[in-house]
Amino acid sequence: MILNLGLALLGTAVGIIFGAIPGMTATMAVAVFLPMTYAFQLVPALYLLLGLYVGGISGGLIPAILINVPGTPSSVCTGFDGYPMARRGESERALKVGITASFLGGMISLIVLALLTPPLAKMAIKFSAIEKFLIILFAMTVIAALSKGSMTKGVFSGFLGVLLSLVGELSMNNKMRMVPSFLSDELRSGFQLLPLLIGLFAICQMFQEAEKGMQSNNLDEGVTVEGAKKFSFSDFKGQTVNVIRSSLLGTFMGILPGVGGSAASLIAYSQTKSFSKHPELMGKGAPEGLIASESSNNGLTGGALVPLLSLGIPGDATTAVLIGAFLLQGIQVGPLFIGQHPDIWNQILLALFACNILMFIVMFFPIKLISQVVKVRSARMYPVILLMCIVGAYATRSGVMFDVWCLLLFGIVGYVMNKIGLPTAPFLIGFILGGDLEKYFIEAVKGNN
Amino acid sequence: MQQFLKEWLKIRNMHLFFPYLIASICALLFVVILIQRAIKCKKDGTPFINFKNYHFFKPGYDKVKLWGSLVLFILYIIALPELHFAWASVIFIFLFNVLFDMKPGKLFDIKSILISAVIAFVGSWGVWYLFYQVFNITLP
Amino acid sequence: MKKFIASVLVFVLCFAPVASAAVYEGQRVRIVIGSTAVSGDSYMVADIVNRYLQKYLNCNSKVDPVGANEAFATIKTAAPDGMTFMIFHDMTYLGVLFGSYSKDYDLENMVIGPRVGQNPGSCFAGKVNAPYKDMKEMAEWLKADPSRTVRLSVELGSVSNLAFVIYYVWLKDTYGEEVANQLRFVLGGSTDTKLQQLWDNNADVIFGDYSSFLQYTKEGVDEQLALKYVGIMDRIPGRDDVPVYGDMGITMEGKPLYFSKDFLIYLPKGTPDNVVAELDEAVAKMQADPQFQEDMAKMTYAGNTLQSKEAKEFIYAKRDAIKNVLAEAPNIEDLE
Repeated sequence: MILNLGLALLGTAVGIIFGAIPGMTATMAVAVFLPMTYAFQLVPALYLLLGLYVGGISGGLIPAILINVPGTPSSVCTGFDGYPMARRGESERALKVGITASFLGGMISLIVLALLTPPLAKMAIKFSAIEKFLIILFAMTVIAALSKGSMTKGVFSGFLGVLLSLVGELSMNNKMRMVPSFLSDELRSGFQLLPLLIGLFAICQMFQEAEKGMQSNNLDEGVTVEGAKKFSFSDFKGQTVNVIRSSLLGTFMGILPGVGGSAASLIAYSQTKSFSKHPELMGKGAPEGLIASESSNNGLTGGALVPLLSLGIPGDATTAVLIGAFLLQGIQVGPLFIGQHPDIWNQILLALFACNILMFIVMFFPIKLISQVVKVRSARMYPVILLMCIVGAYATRSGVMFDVWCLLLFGIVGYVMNKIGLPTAPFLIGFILGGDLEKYFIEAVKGNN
Repeated sequence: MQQFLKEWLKIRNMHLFFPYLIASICALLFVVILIQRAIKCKKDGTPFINFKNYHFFKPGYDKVKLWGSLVLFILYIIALPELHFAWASVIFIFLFNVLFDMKPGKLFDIKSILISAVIAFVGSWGVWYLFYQVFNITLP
Repeated sequence: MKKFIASVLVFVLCFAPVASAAVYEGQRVRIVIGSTAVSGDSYMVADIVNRYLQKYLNCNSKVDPVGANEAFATIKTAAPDGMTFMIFHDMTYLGVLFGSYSKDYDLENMVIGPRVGQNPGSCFAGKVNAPYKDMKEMAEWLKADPSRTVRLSVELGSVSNLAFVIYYVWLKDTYGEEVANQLRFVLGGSTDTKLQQLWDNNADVIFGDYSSFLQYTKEGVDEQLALKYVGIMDRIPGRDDVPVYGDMGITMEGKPLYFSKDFLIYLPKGTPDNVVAELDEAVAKMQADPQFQEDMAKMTYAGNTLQSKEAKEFIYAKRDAIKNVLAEAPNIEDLE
């Protein structure tokens, strides 16, 4: 047990590092550690990997809040409100709100996993391509919620993102589109999400700051961290419904195979905005937006395990890697898994419980230190961010130099878009959802005989 | 409609349907944006195309840092596969630090350059050690 | 000049004493595989083999699941020093045969290393209550009523595409073209996508790996989810109760067909012989290691290795045979 908890702690801590580094994700963390788990028994291996999973999903909130660069795709919405809070000097408060929301999301999804797995899995496979197409379309409506200035420009930018996501080969018929022939090797599998994401946020910001001469840090002028509003659990007052709704939305998106984690936080965010008493404050540093995003992306963790453990079908990209851990130990996950291995099943629930608590402890207490990052001068911070981004981009597909060029390319694209007044967040969201939108559209039309 | 879609989504050309659809939507939205702008310009009495008062860069922007960072970035990516990851990073992270911390009129601030060197060295080798050695991640 | 130096280098390397040939000793080696999934057979085989190569080459090797495109591109551009190589199955040449990849990726443009293992478990599975118990009966069932169809879910340009084509050509030769044309082709995707197609009744039979369907074929699975194997492409040791292509009488070019996915080491063009020789030696030791055989068997793979020379002849012959079958096959897109 001590060993297991030690591994869970290690996993959570390393996962948080992976999540916090722009361009590195929970999926990558689990994949990196997977071959090492061969040396363990399955149960300790699961403690480690689930720790990486929970930590990796949670760690993404740190850079999203502190430097407006989502550490993982599922924390895209975290920065919408987290970063304005940090600029007001409330970085510590924002981080604590985010971590608490993550913890609550993880726990709620754990309860769902523990109590409702078999019936929910049965329901999940009833969702056909048509429903999944509609869900993705629904997630895209967050673009409207985001477009503050001009709705048309936001939607235009979103569709540009969708168009870009179609570049490359359609895996269904192995045919390429929109690829110049001299790039056919590089662009065969299209542009990768992570280089695009961090290019659009981190590198673009670096150029913007360079243009301004790298004068200051990320705080608004005249703001001090000391004078800012402090965190207290009363920040969650009146947010009960938001927490539960967002967590359950995240869990539900996790349960549906093939609907990714980013869709979860997008839908939770736009739902929170439409139910909010002060929708005008969202996007300007309202804790409720932060709560929605973080409780939903951690809600995903338990949800994604539902179809994995009861059907053998992973709920998201990270759980797809987790299957590998079972296979390495010669254990099949599928419809009989829970019945045949009740001991492992109980250990998984226990591990997830432990990992969520550990995640909370590991992140909550050193937060004072981490939140000081906002005070670091841009001139010193951006080179280090750049270094991390390069590692992240290169590691996206385990070592493809083209992805690092894309990092630069999308840094420039983001910079130009900002200059001509096209919002980049809808562009990113369009890109994230574009591939699935096409896939489920085609499947829906073709499958519906 | 169903028939039309089915014909379009035959395996032979299914990969073209969405690109055409989305590109058309983009084109449509672009026209709408232009019309909206035309209406707004007419209301405000400003010319539709207004290059004279348009500045892509902020007035008085830091040319050295902006263009310098772009050039350094390109050189960095070119250098990565040629040199060792950590050495290329030491060199370029140092240069980025020096570039970004440059103050007009005080080009050679020894203290600043020393700090840059320390950040570059510790950062690059630290990242290399952590990811390449500990986590076994492939680096250039 | 370059050529001269290269030939001198090759000369020196070829005649260098064998004792100093430990190219891999203590080196960092990158093994790319043609799949991004870490739960598929490509990764599992590479992972097992990797552990034994580490042991016998005494190197620090690592499997990078980069996917087919990236893996091929890597082999095309990597330095031919043996420190980067690919472990991949028949997709290596099938991609070119099906026209998904250009001739740049032909086997002739790679150095072929030893075979490191086989996976016999490529298979078709159908719903448990399907009106046929295997693909032989499926043929009879189709023949009995020309209005019947069977929808097979496969991916274009892959082993599943080949499995479809072999069955189609055999049906055509044995039962006539009408029966063969009662087969319908459904565009599949990942194993999960195909399972969903089956459960949604958008396909009757889906292609996948033996081990990934195993759970669904067991007693006690909900009827809505349950599967049965209708055709496995090769014999799996210890499983005599499942229908195998060759045993059912399905043939290719007149001979009963037994097709395993062969996992070979592929190296960049120009890799010197001593590097390949060292890999051969390590693979021979691996083959003799009972623990390796046990590890492979546990995953229903076979640890039958081949030295690089035989592996090359073997894979070229296999490719040429398949090329002939594909020439006979219809355009699969017409069977949609």
